[in-house]
This record gives sequence, structure tokens and C-alpha cells, in this order.
Amino acid sequence: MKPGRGHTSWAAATVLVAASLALGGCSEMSRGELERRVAALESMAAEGELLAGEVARDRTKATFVRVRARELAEDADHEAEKMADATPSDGVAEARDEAVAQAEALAEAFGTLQVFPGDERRGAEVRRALERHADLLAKLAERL
Amino acid sequence: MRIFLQIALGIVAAIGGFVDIGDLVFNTQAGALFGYDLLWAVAVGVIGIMVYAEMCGRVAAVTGRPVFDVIRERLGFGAGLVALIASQAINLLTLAAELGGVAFVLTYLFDGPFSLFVLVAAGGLVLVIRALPFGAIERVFGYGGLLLFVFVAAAIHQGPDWGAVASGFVPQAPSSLLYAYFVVGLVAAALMPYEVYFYSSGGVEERWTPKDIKVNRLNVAFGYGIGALLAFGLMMTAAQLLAPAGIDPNSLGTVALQAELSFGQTGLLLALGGILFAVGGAAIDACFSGAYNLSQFLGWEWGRYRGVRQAPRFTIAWLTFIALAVAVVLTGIDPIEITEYAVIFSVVALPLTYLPVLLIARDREFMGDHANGPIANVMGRRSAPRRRAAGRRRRISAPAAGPLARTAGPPRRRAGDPRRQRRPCSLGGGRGDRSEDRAEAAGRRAGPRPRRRRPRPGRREAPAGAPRGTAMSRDRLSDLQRKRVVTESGQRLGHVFDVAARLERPDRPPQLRALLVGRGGLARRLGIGRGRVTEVPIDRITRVEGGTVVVRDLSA
Repeated sequence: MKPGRGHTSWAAATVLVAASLALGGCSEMSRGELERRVAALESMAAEGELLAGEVARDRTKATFVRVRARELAEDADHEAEKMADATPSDGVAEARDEAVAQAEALAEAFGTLQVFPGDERRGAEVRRALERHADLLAKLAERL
Repeated sequence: MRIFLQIALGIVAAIGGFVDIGDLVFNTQAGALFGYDLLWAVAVGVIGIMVYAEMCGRVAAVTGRPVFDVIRERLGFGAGLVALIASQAINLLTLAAELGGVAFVLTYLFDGPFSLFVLVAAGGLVLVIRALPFGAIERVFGYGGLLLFVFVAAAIHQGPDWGAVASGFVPQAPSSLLYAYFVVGLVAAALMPYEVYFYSSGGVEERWTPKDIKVNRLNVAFGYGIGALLAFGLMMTAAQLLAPAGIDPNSLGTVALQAELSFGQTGLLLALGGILFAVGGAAIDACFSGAYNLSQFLGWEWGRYRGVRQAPRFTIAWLTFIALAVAVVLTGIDPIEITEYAVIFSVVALPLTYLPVLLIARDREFMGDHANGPIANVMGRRSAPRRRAAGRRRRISAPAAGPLARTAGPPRRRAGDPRRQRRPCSLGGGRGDRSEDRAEAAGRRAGPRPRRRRPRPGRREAPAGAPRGTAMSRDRLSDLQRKRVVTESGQRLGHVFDVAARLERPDRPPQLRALLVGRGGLARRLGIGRGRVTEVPIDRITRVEGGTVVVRDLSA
């Protein structure tokens, strides 16, 4: 091996890895991948529903609700961004858009919970809203 | 009452090991995804860790030797170093994850910046370790972790289908790759070795003797039994509350929410308190384990009771571990992901840490009456008594874990320090008769057996029995390991695998008698066979040159 050739190979490999990582966000989203993301959203909606239910019944601690709602909102936002960035494969574009919309709606509902962690009335409203979103996500998952 | 205080070490080790942040989420996930189907995997993990912890505790009680002392001695430096690196990686990752867990709980309770709470958690850990005596740490975190029983109560409160629960204890063939992953993960997570390093070293710190073997068994049975109950409670609660709702838990918040769903705010606070103590206890386990392992492997002075002055490198080690763990958490990696990486490292560390302990636990020359029998080698039970004659020649492993000087010469005595007056028993760290020490040291906590400082270069002490002025005046017996032995006429005798020594008087250190050279030496050191071994009397050594020990011709 000539001197420096190893260096070149390493540099090329590094560039390839970096390029793959950089392009990772723009990868194609398959039906299976979308199913997994919708399932994750369903899980978030279900947990948010339980959390909001506790707020509505005044059985919880405000700091816990605020922090957990913030975490859920961040997760929902993250899912929305990931799905929006990905290029949908054939036949899942519409479902992808719907899932992104649901993720945004979930993030908004969690945001309300985060702002009003001790408000029983708003807790009940958020609970109902999340229930609706969970139903829509379940129907979306069935269609997939 | 006293016995309940005594078993705190086992409880803190078990709770810290069994319900650390990874287990809290992993058991909950298993319950949410597979209902009761994986209860058996937890049971398998519990039995495994009980057997191992009991053996480690018994070895610590009988020989006064913690796990990494044994590892280095039995595996030698090379393989021991691999075990050390893997174990330290586990300890560091676990500590980082637990600090993250403490920060999560503080965030749920007080709603502040996560990174600030990481620093608060690290500072609190240092403060607790510095300010509280070992016993208090055990009790505070061990018994505080029992707040997690709220999950057991929640599981019962939800009215489980007991028939389905019972069927969950029957092992099932993997129905999917995910199921198999969870089986392996649950068993591996239960067998994470850091908790046993802590437990075993803690036993040495508490100066266990063979009389404490009963306490060791109670520790293991109660401690790990309680840990297992908590794990079952978490899985059952998740099966009843999260599985029907279709929730896939991946946060400590979801774990705590289960208690709230059952008992409201009180349940939430109990759960968060229990998690705080459990992950805090696990952080202490992992932090001390890291410092213990390093110190034991390198032969440093070690021990929580010894303080900064007596064991400065040990103290620096655990402080460094905490600093490194803070750095890892502050990179932003999810603490729960970190524990998954720790499980990967445990795959490397497990065989290398479990095997040496099993080998020494079944070795009658070390364990005497308390060695494993054939069945006990599988189940970890004590075998039938077999007495050893006093003063009988002992085979002592050459790659001893600590500096040779610490045991080879007569122990230094300091007036008023009973810990300095023990009778050395074996080079490997046997503890001799400690009943006198106990009486003399009544009311005073003591660290592990005293180790003499490594002599300064140029002032090296020869091992007992070695001719003065010869090349045997070395720091460590392990320096001799694998050295080639040749006679002055050039005849090759093989490699050094072990040494033999004789304990002529109980109040004197053992006298080095011979090098055990030849192919069978390794098998004999590992306690797995009786191959051909040449004994080279120690007084025949003329010099050591690099990797070669030169001896006078055997026929001379």
C-alpha cells in the first residue's frame, strides 16, 4: 500500500458515512415505517388521555403533569417533523399527511395540558380531544 | 430487628440492581407489550443473580476477597483486564443512566432544567457518600426503595387474573423476535454484574466472616426476593393498565403514572419517591463498583471506610466516575438508551466475572468447609463439611491481585489499631482469624483488610522465603505470571502459572515455597484439572531477566 492511500480510504469512508447521515432525514418512508410512527402516536394519545383524565379528576401533581405533557408534546412534534421530512413511498402520501396533522394536533393538546396542569375543566377537554385523536389514529392504522 | 438492619446491604444491592432505571422501564414495557407472559424470564434472572450473589458473598465472607480480586487471580492480567474494561464500561454507563434517572424524578417533582438536576443529582451523590456512613447509605436507599411496593399494591388493587399470572411463570417458546429480545433483555438486565461487585465488596467492607454466611443468605433471599417482587409488580401493573390502553412506555413518567392511576397523587408521590431511592441506590452501587473494581484490580488501597487519606486513589476513582457520568448524561443521550448499551457490555463482562467466582467457590483449598459441592455448583448451595488440617500446605495463586508486599512480609502493627493485627492467611487475601479483631474493634467500623503501601522503588521487599537480593524482590506475584522458566543450562521448564506456599505458623505470613511451572499449571489455577506441573523451589531462582526466570539446574 502506498503511503497516504489508507488516509484516502478513510476519508472517503468518512464522507460516505457523513453523507448517509445527512441524507437520513430525507429517506423514503415505507408503509411499515409509517405504521410504526402511527402506533407511536397512538401510544402517546392514549397516555395523554390517562394523564388528562387524572387532571380532570384532580388526582395528580401539577409539576408532574406539566413536565410529562411537555415530554409528550416534544415527542409528538419530533414524530411530525420526521414524517414531514421523509419522502412517502407510493400509496402512503395521503396517510402520511394525515399522520403529520394528527401529530401536530396531539402536540397542541399536550401543550394545553402543559400550560394548565391544574385546571380540571381544561383537563376534561383535553381528554376528550385526545380520545378523538386516538380514534382517528386507530382508523388510520387500520387503513395502513 | 437487628437482622433486618443487617440485610440492608442485600436490599440496597437488589433494589439498586433489580429496579434501576433500565429495569423500571424494561419491566414495564414487557408488561405493556406481552402482559404476564414474561414473568418467568424475571424469575429466571432472579434465580441466576441469587446464585451468583450468594457465591460472591460466601467467597467474601470466607476468604475476605471481593470479586475483582478473584477475577485477576484466576484469569490473570490479560483476560482480567478485558473483564475490567467491560465492567467499567457497564458501571460508567449505568451510573450515567441512574444520574439521569434521578434528574428525571427531580424534574417531575420540581419542574426545572434537566441539566441542572443532573448536576444536583451528582452533587447530592457526592454529599451522601461523603457525609453518611456506609450502613446509613444502605438503609436510606435500601428501605427508601421499598416505596416501590406501591406498584405491587397497584397490581393487586387492579384485580389481576391470578390464573393468567400463574401461567406467566411457565416458560414459553419465543413467539416473535421482539419476545425473544425481551427474554434475553430481562434475564441479562437481572444479571447485571455491577450490583454483585458492590454487594461483595460491601461484604468485605463490613468484615464478614464465615459466621456471616447466614446473613449473606438472608441478604440474598430477602434482597433479591424483594427486588423480584417489585419487578413482578411493575410488569403486572403494566399488563393491567398500559396494555389495554395500547401504551408503549418509554419514560419514567409513564412508569410513575401507573401508580397515580391506582392511588391518585399519593400513589404518584410514593412511586416517584421509590424511583428516586432506587435509581439513587443504583447510582451508588455503580459508582462504588467502578472504584472497587479498579482499586482491587490494580491493588490500590480501597474501601468506603478508609477515607480520603487512607485510600486516596479509591476516592479519586469514584469522584472521577461521577464526573465522567455527568459528562455522558449532559451529551443529551437518553438515559434509558444508555442502559441498553450497558446490557451489551454485560454480555462481554458476564462470563469473565461469573466464571472465576464459580471456580473459587468450588475450590476446597480456598473455601474449605464452605466450598460448592457438585450440585451446589449448579444451585449455589454449600456442600458437606470437609475439614482441612491446620498448617496444611496451601497452594496459592501466583497472579495475586494485590501488591505482593502487602501480604508477603509481616504485617506492620500500629498501636491502637486492631485492624493491623490480623493473621495473614493466604497471599490471595485470606483473612485469618478475625474473631479477635472483631472483639477488639467492637463499636468501630473497619474497612477491608489492611494493605501495606507499595514500597518505593529501590526499597522493594522480597517475598517471604525468597532469597534477599535476588530478582524475586518484586512488587507483585502477578509479575511472574506467564514468565518462561529456564535452567542455567538452557533447559526449558515451561511457564509460571502459580506458586506454592506454606503456612508454618498462624501468626506468620505464608512462606513462598515453589513456582508451579508447566502446562497443567493453568488448569490447576482455574481449579478445573490436574495437569502436569513442575515445582521449582523458590531458592533455586537465580535471576529474572525480562520475561524469563532463570533457575539453577534441578538436578544440581
